[in-house]
Amino acid sequence: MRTYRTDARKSQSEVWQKLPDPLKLPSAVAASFALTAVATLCGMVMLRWLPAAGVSLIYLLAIVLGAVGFGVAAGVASAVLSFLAYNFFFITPTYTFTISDPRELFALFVFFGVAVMTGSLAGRLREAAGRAQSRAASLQSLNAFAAELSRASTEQSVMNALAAQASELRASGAIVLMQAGEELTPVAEFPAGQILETPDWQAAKRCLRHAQPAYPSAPGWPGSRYEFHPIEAAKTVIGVLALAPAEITRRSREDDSALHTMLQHTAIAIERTRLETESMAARSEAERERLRSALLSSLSHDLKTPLASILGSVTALREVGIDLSEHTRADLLLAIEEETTRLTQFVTNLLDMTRLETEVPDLRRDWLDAGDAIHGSVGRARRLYPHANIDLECGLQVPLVRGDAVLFDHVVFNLIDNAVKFSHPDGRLHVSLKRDGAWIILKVTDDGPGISAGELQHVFDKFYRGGSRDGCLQGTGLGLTICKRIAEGMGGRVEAQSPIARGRGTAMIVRLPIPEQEPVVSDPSAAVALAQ
Amino acid sequence: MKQVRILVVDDEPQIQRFLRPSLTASGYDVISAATGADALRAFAAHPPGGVILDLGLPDADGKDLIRAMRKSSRVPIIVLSARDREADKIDALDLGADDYVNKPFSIGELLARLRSVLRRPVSGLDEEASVYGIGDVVIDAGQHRVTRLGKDIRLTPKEFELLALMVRYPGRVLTHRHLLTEVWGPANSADTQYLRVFIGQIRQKLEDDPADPKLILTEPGVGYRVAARD
Repeated sequence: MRTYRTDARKSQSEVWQKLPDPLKLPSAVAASFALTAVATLCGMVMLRWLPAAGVSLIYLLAIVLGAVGFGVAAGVASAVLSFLAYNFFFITPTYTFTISDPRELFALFVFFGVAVMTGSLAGRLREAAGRAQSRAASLQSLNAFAAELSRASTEQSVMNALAAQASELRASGAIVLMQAGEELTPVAEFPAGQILETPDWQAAKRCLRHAQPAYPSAPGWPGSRYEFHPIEAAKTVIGVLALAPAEITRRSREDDSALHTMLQHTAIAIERTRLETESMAARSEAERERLRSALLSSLSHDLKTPLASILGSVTALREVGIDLSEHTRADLLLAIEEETTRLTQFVTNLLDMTRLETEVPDLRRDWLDAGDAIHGSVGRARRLYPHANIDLECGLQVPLVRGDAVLFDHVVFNLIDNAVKFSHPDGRLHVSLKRDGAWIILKVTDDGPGISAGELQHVFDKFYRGGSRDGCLQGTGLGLTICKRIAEGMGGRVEAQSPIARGRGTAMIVRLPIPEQEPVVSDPSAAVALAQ
Repeated sequence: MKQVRILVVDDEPQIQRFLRPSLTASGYDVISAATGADALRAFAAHPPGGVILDLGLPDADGKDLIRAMRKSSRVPIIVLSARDREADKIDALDLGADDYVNKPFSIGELLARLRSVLRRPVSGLDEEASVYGIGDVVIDAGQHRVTRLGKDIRLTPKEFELLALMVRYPGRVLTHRHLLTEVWGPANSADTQYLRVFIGQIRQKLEDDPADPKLILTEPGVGYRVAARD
């Protein structure tokens, strides 16, 4: 036999199962025979101390036991058997069914009446208790189901919960089929690996079409083996719950109403998750809208400022160039070069962002010598910001990591670029690369005014720009977001710390994981060289 | 001295507009082509001493042009490419382009690259016996000897092979795939970690400050370049 669930809810079904099921008539009669035989033996023994009339009480005990243990049928059968056995074994003349004393005849019939009533009453009580227990158990499991549904955040998790719950209720397999266009597709099943045959599919579609349950055909007859119930949401049938034929037949009216309640709960949960999905879509649409307008304002500012400077300088050189001093002409040309470099960096960041936009890419294909790459990036930054003092601290013993060299270069450059923009133009920057356990740590520290705690948590957000001060270089609001995306693509993390010392300074930290598997270099000549 | 003829293949007039006068002013004889077809006609009619080729042309893939030119000529080719097209750039280099310059570029950068590729022997095959000096380091490919400030440096055979391959093309970028295929064979053409390790070892032995190399420079994502002899 398969085990269906092994969670907390099992204890409830155990309580429920303490009392055996009401038995079918033949087994009830067998149980009654056994009980009556035992009672008769006890009576024989007790006869030494009791009058024959007292033995009838032992029979009554057997009848009550039979009724409580095995139901009304067993109770009534025990009563009839006890009546006969009592007459046969204990009423004179013994070992016959004849009765000599008319008073005993009267007592015997009174006994019979009492026996039958006791048996049937006790049996009914037992069945009522059983029903109450099973109702309590199914109520409890329904409550647990409702709680699970209220936690379910997606339609899929609702379907999984329904399949599991229906499977437990029937102690058999359950499959949830959802409507997809004209077809039904299984979306959840419990336990896994069930197969629906053609007749089952036909019954499922019938159930979907008529919004009515479809019951399995009798064993041996053609037709579906599964039982199907429609799942409704917003007054339309969206799917079908399929229940496998149960191994133990324990269908009752309680089960059916529990199933009905489950399906209602499911419908509500599905409507809820659909509403949530819709509102989430609306939120992300609003977010996209916000980003679009942020991008527009960013573009108009960051493109127009350098363009204005370039156009101004060029037209000045063309129109009044002859009257300008040699020094001024050189300065205007330098301005054009600098502004163009800024524009280039801005466009590079925009392109990077577009490429990294949709998802975090997996950049762990290639081996990257971060120590090697960092020199190039720092060199580039030094050329772009000749006034900034950039220290580089990088040991040789930095292990290789997995990552993309070009994008790592963007990370280092953007961090430096950002640090220059948000500290003073001739500030000191410290760039370091170190190993720390299973990570390599890239750290860019500036001695600028730092970032307030409120802003610190937003610095990696797209288009977020730190509180701008007059005369301060403007960023695109993309650099740190790009750093974050790239670092995450390499399996790493980013972090911002501020202030660093005496209420000033910011540190941007990138951690990249050192792969557990070191790069394979299976070259014998390297080994020979080491041996020499 | 005879002027070197440079074929500039670029469809954007703005680029041609500043390239032609800059190259002419630097002493080159410039012919321009705006399409792939024009370029191949000019290439056949007036064989140039060097080619500057934009990979993005309206009528042809720049890579096909490299393939076509390489069939008949070892003329130095410099590729102009957008920054984010790493794969195109690497393909172009592997097809036989000699170097690349990222757009946008400064004219100084382009002229330096052009000088580098024009300087190297065009045949590229007769260097077995040559001696190269870069800074304090002298590499004698024939004698299998490397000295730094006159002192012998011991390199493993693979380290030497790698270094000897690179010094044959001073100032020119060599792709990872090229280096790996030449030194370790085609089966290892994607094992870039070999290069990271071996270049690191060579730098340890040859560079003044191995952490800030001046002889073997890294081209992120593309390959390595040995500093030009100047």
